[in-house]
Amino acid sequence: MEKGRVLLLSAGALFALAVVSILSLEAQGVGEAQANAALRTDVVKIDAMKALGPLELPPVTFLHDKHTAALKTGDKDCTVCHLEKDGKLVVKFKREKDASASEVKDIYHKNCIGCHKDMAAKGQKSGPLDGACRSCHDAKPATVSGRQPAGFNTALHFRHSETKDIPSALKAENGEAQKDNCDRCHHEYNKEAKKTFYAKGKEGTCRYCHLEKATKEARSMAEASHASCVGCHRELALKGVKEVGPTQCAGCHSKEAQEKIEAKNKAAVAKAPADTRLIRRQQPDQTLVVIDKPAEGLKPLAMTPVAFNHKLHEKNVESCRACHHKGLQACSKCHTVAGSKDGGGVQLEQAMHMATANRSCVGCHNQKKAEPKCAGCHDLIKFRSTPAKTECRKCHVDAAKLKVAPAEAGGMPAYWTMKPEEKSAAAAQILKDRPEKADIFSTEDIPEKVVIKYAVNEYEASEMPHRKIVLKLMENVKDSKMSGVFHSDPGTVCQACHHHSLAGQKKPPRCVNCHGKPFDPSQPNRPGLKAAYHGQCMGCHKSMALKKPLNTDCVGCHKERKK
Amino acid sequence: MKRRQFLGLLGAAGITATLGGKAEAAGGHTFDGYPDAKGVLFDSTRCIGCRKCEAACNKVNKLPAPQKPFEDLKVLDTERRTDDKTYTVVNKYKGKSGPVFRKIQCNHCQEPACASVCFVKAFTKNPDGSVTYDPTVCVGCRYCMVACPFNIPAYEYSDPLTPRVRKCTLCHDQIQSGEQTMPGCVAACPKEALTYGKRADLIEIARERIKKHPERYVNHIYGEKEMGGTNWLYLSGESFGTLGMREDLGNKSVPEISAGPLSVVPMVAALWPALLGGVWAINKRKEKVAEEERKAAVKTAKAEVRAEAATKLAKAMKDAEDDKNRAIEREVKRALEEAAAAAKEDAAAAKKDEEGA
Repeated sequence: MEKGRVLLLSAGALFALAVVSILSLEAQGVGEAQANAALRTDVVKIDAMKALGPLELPPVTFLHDKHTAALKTGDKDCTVCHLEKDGKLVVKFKREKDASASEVKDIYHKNCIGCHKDMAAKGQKSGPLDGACRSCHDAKPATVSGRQPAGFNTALHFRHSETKDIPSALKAENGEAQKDNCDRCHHEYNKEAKKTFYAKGKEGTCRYCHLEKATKEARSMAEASHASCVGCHRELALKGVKEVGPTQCAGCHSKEAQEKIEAKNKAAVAKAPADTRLIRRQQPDQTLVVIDKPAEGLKPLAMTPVAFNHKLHEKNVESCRACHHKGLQACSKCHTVAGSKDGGGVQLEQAMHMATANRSCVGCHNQKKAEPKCAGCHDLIKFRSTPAKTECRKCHVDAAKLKVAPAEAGGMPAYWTMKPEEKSAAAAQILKDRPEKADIFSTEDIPEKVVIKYAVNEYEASEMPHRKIVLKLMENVKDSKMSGVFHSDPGTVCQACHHHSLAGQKKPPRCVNCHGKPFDPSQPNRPGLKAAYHGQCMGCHKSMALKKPLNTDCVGCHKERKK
Repeated sequence: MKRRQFLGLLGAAGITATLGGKAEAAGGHTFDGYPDAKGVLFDSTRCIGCRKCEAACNKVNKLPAPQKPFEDLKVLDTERRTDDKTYTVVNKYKGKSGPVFRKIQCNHCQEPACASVCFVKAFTKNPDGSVTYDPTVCVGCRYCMVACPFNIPAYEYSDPLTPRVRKCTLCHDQIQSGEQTMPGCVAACPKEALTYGKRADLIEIARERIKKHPERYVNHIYGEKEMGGTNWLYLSGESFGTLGMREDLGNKSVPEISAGPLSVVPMVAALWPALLGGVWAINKRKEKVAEEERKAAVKTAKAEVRAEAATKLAKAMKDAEDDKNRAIEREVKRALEEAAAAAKEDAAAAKKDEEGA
């Protein structure tokens, strides 16, 4: 071969080798750097310029806590990077507003790189300098955000409202500071004057106005909460208050810190006297959930009101937003009977009863039913498209008990005319009379052992510890008032296993009465006897996450038959 | 004529290939399965991996006892496959919230690949849905093992004289004889994870289960359409890939896939020899004739040349002869003249002498 050909061939071989190596980089695990990246809670993605035009380089992965830690070395504080306006820190970096892309870029580059240069000149360990663009604008950073979303719950709010370190800024009649310090955080917004002001009785969660993204009238929740919360913590820390909230990212957003905060919350609530309301907003203890006044010309046609134990429900949710998701008012104000624009077209019936929603009454109750203690039975009866009509009576009161006159002759009683005090009184009376303890038949009426001998073949008859199981289920149910209300009829708990039969019977039908040979074409969904037993027992055990007995441990439930 | 011959061959082959046209689904027919074909629906959310189905299959088919007993659940820690003494196995896979199980056995496809590739018709798709095997005609080529997309047929490699292909039979013989009313595995399952019935009914049942419990099932019935539809259907709560099942098989059965190329074979086998042979024969004849003409031309040319040469030679020879003769004559004449002259001189001299004396 001539020399030229040898050269060409070896060049071609090298090229092929290069292509294969590059394409198999992933096989070599180079891409795994992302997957095994370190988790930090202080990762801030600097992409403020995204709103001002397309980005030339990837957003910067900024480690905030790392920088605040570095501040300690020079005895500096937050004002090194954040401006102060009206005594409060502006959370943006060295600016109040994003004016233009080039301005923002200059602010970041001059100040970040400038500070790095100064520190490097002093001989301190510092960050990247001019020219090392990709050191900051890293498309695939080694650090990945492990930030847990942080927020307020009623217990944490309680700690803030009770502490003496946050006194009210308003003066009472006698000249001293007011007892309630709500005005320190809660405000309304005056659109014309573009100012915030305190409105007593209208306090709600920040998130009603401060949403995920900034709007014309309100900053984003992230900006607002950091400016207010972290700013206030910082001020108190500077004043020398010992027990102060976190100022570091990890202080609120790391899993460990959140566990610590939860523990402190629980302790604070336990220390308070038994009957304390965590949120004092003049909310009723008990009330009637009624429909709002129907629109002009519309005939009121709806179910009777529901007696609602507001206090009990308050204790069982994280914050008011669990139900009051858009504002602290009654559901029926927006979710009218026929649906309205304010309610997003969701009618009152759906808002109260939708089984798959988080916020509806039925939906939230269903979530509780999914817990292992309850799931054993409730997973078996999960799918019921239309519950029995007797179920409505568990919540909706008898109209005769509320003596309210109809709006027009022959029409529905005008429940919406009831005053709040009247509603509370009526609800309190009805709730007092309502049975709220789960009930079963007397112990003698519950068979102790049930010998299942209808399908004996390879195994002996199974001796089921029936009474033990029923009593254990009752124990699971006893702590919850909610389950007490729904299981107050004696035969209710039996219905999970003794299904498709009349409730309240002391002698329910036997399984073999309906479950016989499998694969009957006229009953495609009915299992045969063997599968009915195994499916129900094993299904319940699985839903309740029981370790014993194992599904595959046949002799654990029935002994082997020696032929 | 080499190039033209080549082009001729190409043209003939191409035209005859297009004559075959597009063969769809083995000749344009569709087979939606026998109407009363039975099948089995496997619900992976119900299976607990107890291996009672394996034990029952072993008993009903009178298979030899396994190495590890069926109560041993540790065998589930390794992935197994069917073999010549095990028509079905249960495998354990890692699910999102605990182990999930799958029972592996012949899927009794509606258009089986094994039956399609077997050239001795050892496999039969019966009207009752099962795919059964006849060992008396099998030649042991094992094309069926190559063709099965689910890798089910197993071979008795240990038997040198009369090896057979072994796989699940859907208990066809036992159901026909009345010994069983349903496959052994189906009867044995304590959770009714296996449901036996008409394939159409099973699909309805499966759809209803998905509709009633959408959070429990993946919205897909495996085997409804895969490889043209199988009589063993699967429901699962995890993705079917998690259960070790192939999700890349497509909805065309093997007979349908191979129908296209295979439909061309008879036409090719019949027409191409004739046509291409004809083209070749014509060309050959042409060549032969050309050769003969060439030979004839060469012959006449040679003869002509030879004749010409002969006449030329003759003429040359004659000329030469003439020349020679003329030369001779000339020489003779000269000689005569010289002789005459010499004689004259002699006579004159003699006369003088005579006078002088």
